[in-house]
Amino acid sequence: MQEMQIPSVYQLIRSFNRGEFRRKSIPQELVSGWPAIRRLGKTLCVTIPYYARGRAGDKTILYPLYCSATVPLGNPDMLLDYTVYPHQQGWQDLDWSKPVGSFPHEALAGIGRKEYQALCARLYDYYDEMVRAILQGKPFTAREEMGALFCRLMEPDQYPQYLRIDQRFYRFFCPI
Amino acid sequence: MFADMLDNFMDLFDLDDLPKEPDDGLMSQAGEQEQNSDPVLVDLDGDGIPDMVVQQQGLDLDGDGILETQLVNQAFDLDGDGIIDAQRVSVGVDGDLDGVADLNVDTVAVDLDGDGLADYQQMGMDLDGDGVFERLDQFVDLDGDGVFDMAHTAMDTDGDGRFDAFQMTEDLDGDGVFHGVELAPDDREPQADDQNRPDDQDDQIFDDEADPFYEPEPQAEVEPQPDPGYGAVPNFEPFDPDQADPSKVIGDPESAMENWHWQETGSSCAVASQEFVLEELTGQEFEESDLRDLAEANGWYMPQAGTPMDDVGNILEHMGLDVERSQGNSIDDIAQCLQDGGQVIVAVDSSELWEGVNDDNFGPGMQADHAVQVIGIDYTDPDEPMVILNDPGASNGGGAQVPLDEFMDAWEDSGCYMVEAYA
Repeated sequence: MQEMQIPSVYQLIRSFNRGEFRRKSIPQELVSGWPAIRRLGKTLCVTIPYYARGRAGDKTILYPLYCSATVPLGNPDMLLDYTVYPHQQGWQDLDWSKPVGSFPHEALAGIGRKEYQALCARLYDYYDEMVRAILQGKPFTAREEMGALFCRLMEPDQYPQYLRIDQRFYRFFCPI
Repeated sequence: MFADMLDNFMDLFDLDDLPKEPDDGLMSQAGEQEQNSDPVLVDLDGDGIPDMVVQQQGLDLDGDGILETQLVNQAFDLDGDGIIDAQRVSVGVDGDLDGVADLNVDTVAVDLDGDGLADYQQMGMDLDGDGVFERLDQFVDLDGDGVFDMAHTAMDTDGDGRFDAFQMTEDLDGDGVFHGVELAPDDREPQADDQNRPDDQDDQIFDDEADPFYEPEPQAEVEPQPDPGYGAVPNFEPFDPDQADPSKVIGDPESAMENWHWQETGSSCAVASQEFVLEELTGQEFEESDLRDLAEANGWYMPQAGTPMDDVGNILEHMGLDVERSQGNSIDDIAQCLQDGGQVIVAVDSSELWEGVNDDNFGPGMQADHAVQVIGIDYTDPDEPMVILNDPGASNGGGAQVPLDEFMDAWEDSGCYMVEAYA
């Protein structure tokens, strides 16, 4: 069977974030977090979480994950799910009016903006390798390296909310 | 369907426990501890579907065997979906048994979001049985967690039938302690502890209980107080009309910058920007909080999240203004709108606007995260034209001047998205 042609996860999210659904339905003040790759039936999908950030003087403060959108990796125009978490059972204990942490977190202390961006780009490369491995039915050999990098980049105060979205994915690939 | 509605109502308000006995006139039933009517279904709008349930109950509160208290319980299905979403409980006490209630308490609760919890409640008290409330308390659950977090009390202290004293309190931090947040002015001497009372000193539900009620007139000019928990302090220089050549300035920034205030929540930049536009085009004053309520009620604004880009302008349309939205614009399009008497809101990347930094630190393609009003363009210095903004997200955002090239960098991240509004 011919391999499915898909864009890079980074490019797919970039495209979605500049698309119509984002513009019409997701508050522009929200930014996107670390995606989860999941399989829904036969369809390989990406779930993109969103959260609010703010400024407090020279600090960037982060709020709990607010919503997520799920689209097929092969068709980012097909929205499969859009969930707003403050309205969901199991999320009522969170207070979206209060920050849960700040950026950058401790594991990123001392690194510059360009270095941080390079690390993010590397993590998205790992996402692509993972997707290729899944599509080809081969083992993902870079799991440990991805996990180490993912754990460093993951905002620790938002990690519990990532687990609520997809505990299996985040605990496996980001085993903090 | 109505059976379900009745069940829901019974469960929601615990009426299953009420004994059901024939009603022979509640106020005249001496010798009984309580007397209850069967629920009566009422079709208010005549469509054949019941939309109100009424039940009466007689109570003997003082145990003398006489039902001196009457309770009327009304439950409403306001939107016709078969689910109870409002309840009114009226209690009348006829202590002297003259057939006229001496004390009336009327409570109304409304479930706006259908989660079975009251989002709004008001309680009126007629303490002398003249049929006029001497006190009216209103409570609002802003975040839908089932706990009221704002309260307003109105009182008629001189018995003339008009409310003359008011107090508003809030418990926005959810700690169960209500704080006074809006006090109408009065003639009293300022009290040392009137303001800024630390939260940790609160040990009662209404920590401003000791404060007297206040005369509502005249209205005070209350400057919005920025929340110190958010906001940027970029290196903006405010527009100075004395330093500009009026013939080289497009728009009326001197007037428009008077409308600026710091956005009242971390997510309300688009609402605040629309407020600036409304005030400039109509000459009327608006409260950001009222506009947030309006936008939230219509699904245009999510507290703690913000406004989708395409919903910016909905408030203006609602208020009767003509609104156009478009992408791929240029600075000349903004200039044209201002010259035509319009007002402009644009979507920008706050990082680029405030820090000159363009990056994808917060997600691929996620740069345009902020709404600002463009109130003018100053070409006094042809080598460095300045775009003049009302930026509600910056502490110094009123009439903030940004070099044209920096503005364009920040604006391009939204595809040069622009909302034009005309009176």
